[in-house]
Amino acid sequence: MYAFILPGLIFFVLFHYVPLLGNVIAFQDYSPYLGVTGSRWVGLQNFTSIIRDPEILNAITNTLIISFLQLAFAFPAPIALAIFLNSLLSERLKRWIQTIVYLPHFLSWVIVIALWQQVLGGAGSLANGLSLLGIENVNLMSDPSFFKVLVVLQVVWKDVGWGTIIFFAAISTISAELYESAAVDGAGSWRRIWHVTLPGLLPVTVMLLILQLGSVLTVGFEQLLLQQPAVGAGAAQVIDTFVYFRGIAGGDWGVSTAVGLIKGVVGTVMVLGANRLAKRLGTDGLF
Amino acid sequence: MPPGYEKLPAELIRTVDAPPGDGGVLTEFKISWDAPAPPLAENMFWQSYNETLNVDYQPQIAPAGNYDERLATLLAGGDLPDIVQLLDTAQSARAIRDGAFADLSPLLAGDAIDEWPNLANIREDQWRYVAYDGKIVGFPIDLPAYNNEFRYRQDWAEENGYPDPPADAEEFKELFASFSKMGVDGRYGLADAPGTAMIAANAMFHVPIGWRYENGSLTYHQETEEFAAAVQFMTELWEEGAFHPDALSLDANVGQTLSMIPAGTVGISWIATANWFNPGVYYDALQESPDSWAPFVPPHHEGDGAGLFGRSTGVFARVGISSQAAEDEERLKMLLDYCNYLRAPFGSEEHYFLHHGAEGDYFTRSGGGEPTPVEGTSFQPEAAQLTYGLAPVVYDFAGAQDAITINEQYVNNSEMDPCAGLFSDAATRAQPQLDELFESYVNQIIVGNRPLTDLEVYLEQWRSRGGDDMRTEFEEALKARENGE
Repeated sequence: MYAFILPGLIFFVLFHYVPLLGNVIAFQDYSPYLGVTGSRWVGLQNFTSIIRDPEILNAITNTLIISFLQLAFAFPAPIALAIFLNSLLSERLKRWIQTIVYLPHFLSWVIVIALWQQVLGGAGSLANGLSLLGIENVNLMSDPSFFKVLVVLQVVWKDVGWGTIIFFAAISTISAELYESAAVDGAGSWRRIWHVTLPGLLPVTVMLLILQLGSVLTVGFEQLLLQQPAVGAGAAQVIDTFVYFRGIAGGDWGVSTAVGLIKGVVGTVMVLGANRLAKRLGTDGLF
Repeated sequence: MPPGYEKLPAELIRTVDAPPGDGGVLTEFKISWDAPAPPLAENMFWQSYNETLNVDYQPQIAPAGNYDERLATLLAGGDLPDIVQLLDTAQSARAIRDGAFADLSPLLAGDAIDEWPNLANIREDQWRYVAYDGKIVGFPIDLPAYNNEFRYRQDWAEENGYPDPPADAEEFKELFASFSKMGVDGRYGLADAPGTAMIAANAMFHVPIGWRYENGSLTYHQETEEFAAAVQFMTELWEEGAFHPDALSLDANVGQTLSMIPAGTVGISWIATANWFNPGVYYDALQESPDSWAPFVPPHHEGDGAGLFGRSTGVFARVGISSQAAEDEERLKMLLDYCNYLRAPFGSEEHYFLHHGAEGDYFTRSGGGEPTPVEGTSFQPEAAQLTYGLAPVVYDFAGAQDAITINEQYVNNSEMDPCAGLFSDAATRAQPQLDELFESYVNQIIVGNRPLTDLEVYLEQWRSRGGDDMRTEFEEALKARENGE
């Protein structure tokens, strides 16, 4: 039986554990041609040059704001949608809506942003509609002050449907008897959601929340990189785009790896911390 | 200016005695802007290429957008192809410095190069720009002194009451703003910002090319009054509504911006001259309505003469030979033979083969006339990716004389960046971040999200975040060049 573990194990060792060794690049002035063995060791120089970079503070701030907004709005959105869909009586209608809300997940960010541009951009339908009403020059896609809200809206639009799948699975494990007895006790539909559905979803929610906290410093690279030219780095610089411009585009691999290493450490601390907190609050936690 | 030929000479000369290859595998890493060529089995040109050059040609082709990542992967993989096209990027500068490419100087010094006559024909100034640290680390891929030209929609201009091309900055603004106001859905005077318009604005306000070098010290072009004036002009263009409302996004989406030219939704274009003369989307658009795209040279903003344009070094990229392949001298000589073949000049049998394929495959030619295409075949899509590289750039199309007349106006009003061809570590490392900084400030100034006074804030940041380091390194390199070479 244990043989079934093998393919997964090999995958993780090969693509997740072996590459961890590459983190030594964080302590080198790495040159792809000379390789790990030939490149110069520079100690903590890559880390200090990150800390000294004036842009890093802006990148961290933006990352945390977007991350918080995503946690506050994009994370609960699929729960709400799952509960709403679950309350629909018509199977047909439910499947229709499911299909429609799943679809955007399969579009790449390039396409998603092109679509949004067509609707909210300066030459988009919204701008055209408003100009008929005499309101000119509306361009939500290149407004730095609206940008973070825009990013979260895009994430919700793209992935809310996909996110419901796991909550649907959880809802389906809640015993129908619980609903029946709650109904017999006189609970209306809101009370049934509050006292039966939500507690039933709690373990899954806690698990996903802990995992989400692990990636709190990762808020989507392509989505931001693609839109940065329109709003500028002040609004759209996040840690990952910083790594791209500071490290990868300039051929400074050591710096990129150093940031990756820091992110990995922070993520691990967040996951462990959140897990401990979850246990203290009385849920099972993740492990 | 590139040499131009309206016709092929009746008699083609032969510059290479024997096929250069040894029948074995020859690998090359190259860049491409074209659609992928069909695989060998379905590609008549590739087959005849292998046969004619006696190689088993296995190119590794990187689309222009992925060039840097692909090169890094190749370098890290440790097994470089025999021949590598090296663009001026941080990545390739580093690889050259680390010794990934063979120093060809010993083999080519003095008369030794005469063994490869086509390589010996490479211009003196081009050698200077492909050298690195005094060593020959490759051959040049040609770039004309000024590769592009501006055109505007003459038909729209006439409709709006502007029979002549703009004679000063004010007229430029009026003209392109008028295109946006024609009431045609989706039509704008200018598309991307800063983009094409910024290039025109820099030219009109005589912004120095790259750097200004005076009394041994450098001033970055963005630090000059001329640049401030050009940016202010850009804000005026924006206020007048000349731009597409999504101009900033379009600037990051070159493909979409370019597609607006043949689509007839933008009034200005700045693309390589040859595009208007060689079959393709732009050529087709011009054939369809010959009154549409007319060339114009952006004037000096006060109307007294032409703008100021940036002249290239004549080198687009280097073609290097990997150190690994060069270890075996026989093989190195074979690779030089191969490069010598590719560099064959216009009017030679070799050049003809690389641009028309084997006789009868795509074109037939008899009695020294012009080649006639074989019906049902299409040469470009099958060959373009494979042949891009060392071939000398010539204007070999009908209308070459016109193209050169236009090109002359740019070249005669051009200057070269005093730091062209110099290396600065700070420049290669910091440039991506500085470009980003430019986007955050100058782009936002242009569209009115930031005040014009923020240009000073931008320049302060630019200086402290790598600009001043660049300046110091370039000044040192310039002094070394003045004293040394």
